[in-house]
Amino acid sequence: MAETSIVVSMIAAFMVVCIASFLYRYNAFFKFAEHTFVGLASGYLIVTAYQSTISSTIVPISEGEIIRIIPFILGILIFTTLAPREYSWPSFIPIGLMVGVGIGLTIRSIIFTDIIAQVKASFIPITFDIQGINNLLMSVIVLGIMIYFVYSSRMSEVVRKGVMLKLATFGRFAMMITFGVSFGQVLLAHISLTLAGVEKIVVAPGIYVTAIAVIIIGFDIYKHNKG
Amino acid sequence: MTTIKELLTSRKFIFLGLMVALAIPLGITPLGLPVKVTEQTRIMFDTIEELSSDDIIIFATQSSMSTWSEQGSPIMALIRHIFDKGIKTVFVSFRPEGGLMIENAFSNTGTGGRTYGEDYVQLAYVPGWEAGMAAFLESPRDTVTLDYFGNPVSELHLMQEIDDGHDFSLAIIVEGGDIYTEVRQFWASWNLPLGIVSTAGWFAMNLAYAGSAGLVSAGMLNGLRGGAEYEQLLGLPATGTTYMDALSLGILFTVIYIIYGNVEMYMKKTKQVKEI
Repeated sequence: MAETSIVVSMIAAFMVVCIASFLYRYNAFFKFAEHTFVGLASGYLIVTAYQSTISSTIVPISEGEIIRIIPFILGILIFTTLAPREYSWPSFIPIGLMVGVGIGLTIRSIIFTDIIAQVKASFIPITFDIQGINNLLMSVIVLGIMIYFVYSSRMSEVVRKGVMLKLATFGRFAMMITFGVSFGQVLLAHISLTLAGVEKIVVAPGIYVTAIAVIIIGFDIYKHNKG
Repeated sequence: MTTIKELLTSRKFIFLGLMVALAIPLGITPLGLPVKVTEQTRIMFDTIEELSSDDIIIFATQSSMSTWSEQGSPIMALIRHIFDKGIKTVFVSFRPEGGLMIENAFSNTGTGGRTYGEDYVQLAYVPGWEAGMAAFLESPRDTVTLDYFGNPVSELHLMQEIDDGHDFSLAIIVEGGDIYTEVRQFWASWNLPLGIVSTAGWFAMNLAYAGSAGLVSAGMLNGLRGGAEYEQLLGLPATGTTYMDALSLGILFTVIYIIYGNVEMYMKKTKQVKEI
């Protein structure tokens, strides 16, 4: 078991080093890791999709749930989209059904979750404490952003002065700060994503793979400079 | 001849520097930097703390394995807490790689002596995304016929206790992107309290559904940071805490470069003005 774990860690470290070697230059090791990853990911997705199709249609049909033959046939009909144009019309049936079901499922609750609840959340009590100040700031920001968007439309001539202009400018700054926060969070996320990879190549046994890679790259730099 | 300025601003140097900054806490010594527990993490912890072994929760993993280093630690911390409390859990996934993530988490956390089929189940991937979620909550046993390991759902005792979405006390969603779909299907359609494990990149956007909007009432964990906070609340420092040290050092390195870039730009502009 321990031997298996060491081998798995070494393979993982080798793959990380192969990908990281792109920082030095495009090379065969990077290409190998890149193609292996794409191949494995595609293979996994195909097998999962195949298994879910079997378990949700073929197995129940074989057990007597004949009704499931309808989605199975509809699924097959999607492939007619690959046929010449005059024979591809059956694919419109399942695609239309999927679009219709999707819209139906979305529309029944989107008005509440994305409009009513959000508007309701903007009406918050303004009290004389820290939370109250926060709520006041939020209300002014909502107002400012709304005015900013009205301001950039044809109605702009009406509001392009005085307090309205100040609120619109405030709204614009608030949006910039929000985008800045989002950018910071994305940066945080991207650095987080490298952590598992870095851990694999700096902790034993992966560190040995890193050492070998450093020697190979060093030798390549030496050979390149000599040439 | 390469100048120091050229070296400092070369892509290779920046990536190497970042890698070294991340490697110090991971490979040499953890720094033990403090992490403040935020309100959303506290809400999530308290919500799970209030549940009992009579409750059944749904744990849906919608991320891909590429987010493991960010979302792995919150997933593992939550599993530890759930199993420690003895809460019955249905693990399910509406994305193909979700099952793999849960298996990965189990290989690190173990199952705390819980019995498969009685205390927890891991179901097969449910295709169809939003339609899949709607169908699953309407009739779980009809939507998923096999579990992750290929066993018939009809043989799993826990699944016999569930008829529809009303039988769940809480839904924990591990999401790599936005949570619009989950809010629509789990909360708006079934009024299920939602707890979210978000990625840091989407956290600010997803937060619009928490707080005063009240659609995500069971808290939201902010990726790796959320994991580290949750580990603190559990009193079990693990991967999240170690990774958070590395992340802090990596961010510090990046901030130094951002300041350097701005100073450089300011000096360049000042020089141009003087020349004119």
